[in-house]
Amino acid sequence: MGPVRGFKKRRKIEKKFERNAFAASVSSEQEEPADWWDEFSKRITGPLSLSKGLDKFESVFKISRKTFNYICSLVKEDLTSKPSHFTCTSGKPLSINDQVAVALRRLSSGESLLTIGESFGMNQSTVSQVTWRFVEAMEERGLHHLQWPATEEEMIQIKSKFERIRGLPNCCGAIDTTHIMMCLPTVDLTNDVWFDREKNHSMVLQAIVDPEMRFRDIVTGWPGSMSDSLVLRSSSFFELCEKGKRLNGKKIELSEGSEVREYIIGDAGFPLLPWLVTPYQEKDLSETKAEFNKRHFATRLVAQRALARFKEMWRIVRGVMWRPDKHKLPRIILVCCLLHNIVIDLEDEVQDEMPLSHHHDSGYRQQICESVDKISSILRDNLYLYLSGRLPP
Amino acid sequence: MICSVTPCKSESSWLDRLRSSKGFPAGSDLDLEQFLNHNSDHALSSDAHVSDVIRENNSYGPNPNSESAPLDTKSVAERSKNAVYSGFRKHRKKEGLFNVMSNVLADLFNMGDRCGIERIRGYVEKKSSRKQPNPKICSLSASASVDDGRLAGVRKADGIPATWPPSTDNSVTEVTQNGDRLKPAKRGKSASLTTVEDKSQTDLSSSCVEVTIIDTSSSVWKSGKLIFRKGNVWKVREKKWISGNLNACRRKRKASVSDDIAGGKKKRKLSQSPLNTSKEAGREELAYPSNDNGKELCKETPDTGSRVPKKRSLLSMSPKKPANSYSPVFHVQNISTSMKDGKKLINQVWCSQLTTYSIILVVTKVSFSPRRSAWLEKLELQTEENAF
Repeated sequence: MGPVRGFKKRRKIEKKFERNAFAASVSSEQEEPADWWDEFSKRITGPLSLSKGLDKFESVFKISRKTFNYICSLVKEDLTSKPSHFTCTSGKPLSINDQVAVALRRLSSGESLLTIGESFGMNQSTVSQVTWRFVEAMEERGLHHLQWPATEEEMIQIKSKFERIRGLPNCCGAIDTTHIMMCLPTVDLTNDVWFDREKNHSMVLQAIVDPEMRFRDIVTGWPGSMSDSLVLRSSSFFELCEKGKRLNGKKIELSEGSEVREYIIGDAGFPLLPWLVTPYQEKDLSETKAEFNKRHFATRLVAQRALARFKEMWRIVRGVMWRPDKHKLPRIILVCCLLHNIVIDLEDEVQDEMPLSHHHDSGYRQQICESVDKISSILRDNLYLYLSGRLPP
Repeated sequence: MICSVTPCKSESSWLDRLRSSKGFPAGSDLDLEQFLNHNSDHALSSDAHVSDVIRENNSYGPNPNSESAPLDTKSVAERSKNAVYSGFRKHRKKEGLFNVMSNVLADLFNMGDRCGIERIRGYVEKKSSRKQPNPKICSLSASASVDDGRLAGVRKADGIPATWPPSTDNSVTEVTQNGDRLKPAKRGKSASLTTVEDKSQTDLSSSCVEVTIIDTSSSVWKSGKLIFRKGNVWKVREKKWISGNLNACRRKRKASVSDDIAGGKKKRKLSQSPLNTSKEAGREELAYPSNDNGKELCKETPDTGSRVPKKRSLLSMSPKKPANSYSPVFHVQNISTSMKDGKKLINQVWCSQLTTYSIILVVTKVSFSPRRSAWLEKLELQTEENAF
């Protein structure tokens, strides 16, 4: 009687798995005492190999070693829970640090899978799988780095920092939208929905940021052809605010009979709402209104800078992505946003060296939303009168 | 040879039958050409139309217009010549005959009003078609669907333009899935041309796209949505994670419109439809209910997992329910079925999920052969390779 069909193959797979698991456990034990970077940097080839050394760590990953270690600790459990057989081309299994390094390099450089695979000595499919596994792990473990201020103290701090910028009282955030560009086949008519008004295929990312350029709320995944206003109206943030469950904190009394509720600020692409203040859009603005607009612009600049830095730091979302999976792209964007916040939360020094630009959506013209209601105008007028010193004491 | 004789016989017999049914003599001397030539001048337009209709029915050549032109000129010339010789009595008799004949033809074809005949004729001469230029509308379902479409007109809620598409059976806004492309349904084409008058709307591109939305303010921060877009009109619906294929767009839209208009009658109607098999009806039941708001959200996403069609009862844990509520990982456990069924099952899950997002099939206990096990492992690897 001959052997059962497929038995050999199964045994082979089992053996391979056991060998990998053993090797992984050995390597993880070994990596702790020795410095992982010393060993890893030796494996780097190509142009990246020029920047060897611990001091050059930041140039490869754009984050400090401290932040890197923190990220590793975040995802370690998830990455080890599933058995993996990720190896280098030399056959050596990838440690947790290796996997995080590969994923971070992919997200921060935006280089192709092939380039990263060649640099780190591994197959491009390994780079792809490792990165995706990292993204999934970060989604699960890192979400607490991106949330709306939970405590009143936190909100008070945010408000006071916003007020310090240009005097806007009781401001809780700045909202802005950017486009993640994609290269999609135009032959496929279903892709038309991704075709935005600037003739690019893109996905929208809407972010509300605090004065430290930390993302406090994001919405992404909507096609680029949707206007900023529509993306906002489709968001849960909008729904919560309309129901009075958000931005429902303490009102500030500007003068007798004049008070200002909590609000966020946004550009002219957003509608003027009772909780969203946009600049004046009249043609012939009075000097005081122009001054208000200047203050408004200066305050909401944090949102633009945050998005500019976000794209600068996580370059996978900066360039034109080649036919990405549109269901995975929002998750990648989310993870990049989490990483952006982690860098801020850990007060990583690398952010001090980053240039402060506010151009995140080059080539995109300012959208105009003319939706205005009376109550919203009152809030804006109160602010404008207060800032121009015209409110009675 | 036999074939060449048969059409002649059938043609003559058809003509005979038609004549006898309307009280005409069934002789062979009264052919249509002669009949046309002996008409009076005032019946010119009707006559012309008759010839048009007949030509429409008989023209199978690439350019029937070239044939029609000489026929018309000839008939006009002969008509003027014959008018001199025809007596008053004879003329009246012929006229009556013609009226009867045109009534017969009017029963068969929708000729429209007399004023429109010239226009129709001009259109036919410009652009020939094998189809009837002015077909009669079948009033069984078209009228109802037209009403549906009008009722479902554009409305706005929360500033979100909502209600496209009306998704009627015979409306131009209905789309059918053909591969990756969405295009207008053919079967409703003729009816839609007669019912949809807003040309600016019909010119706009329409699409139905599945998207994954990340919204950190939402309790479920990751959700699948279906976007229906026509021009600047958007409609967003919650998408079930399991219904990964785009055919769902059409089904859901149908269901929602029907819900809007007929309320609970839809399900009964579906089950009565001869086109719907029990399987189809089962799927239809999984479609989300819709409300009148522009943004339609379903609150029963986790519950729908229990309403899996019978085929899926093979799984101890429904594939609709992820292992983790937000995780795309599906556990397929205790597959104690034949290899054929198992493959079909996995294929079903695989195909339904492939377009939505990657899945990792974690096979914890597989009771079929080692070869099948290897196949599943291979599938797992392929799935993972597809990621990112």
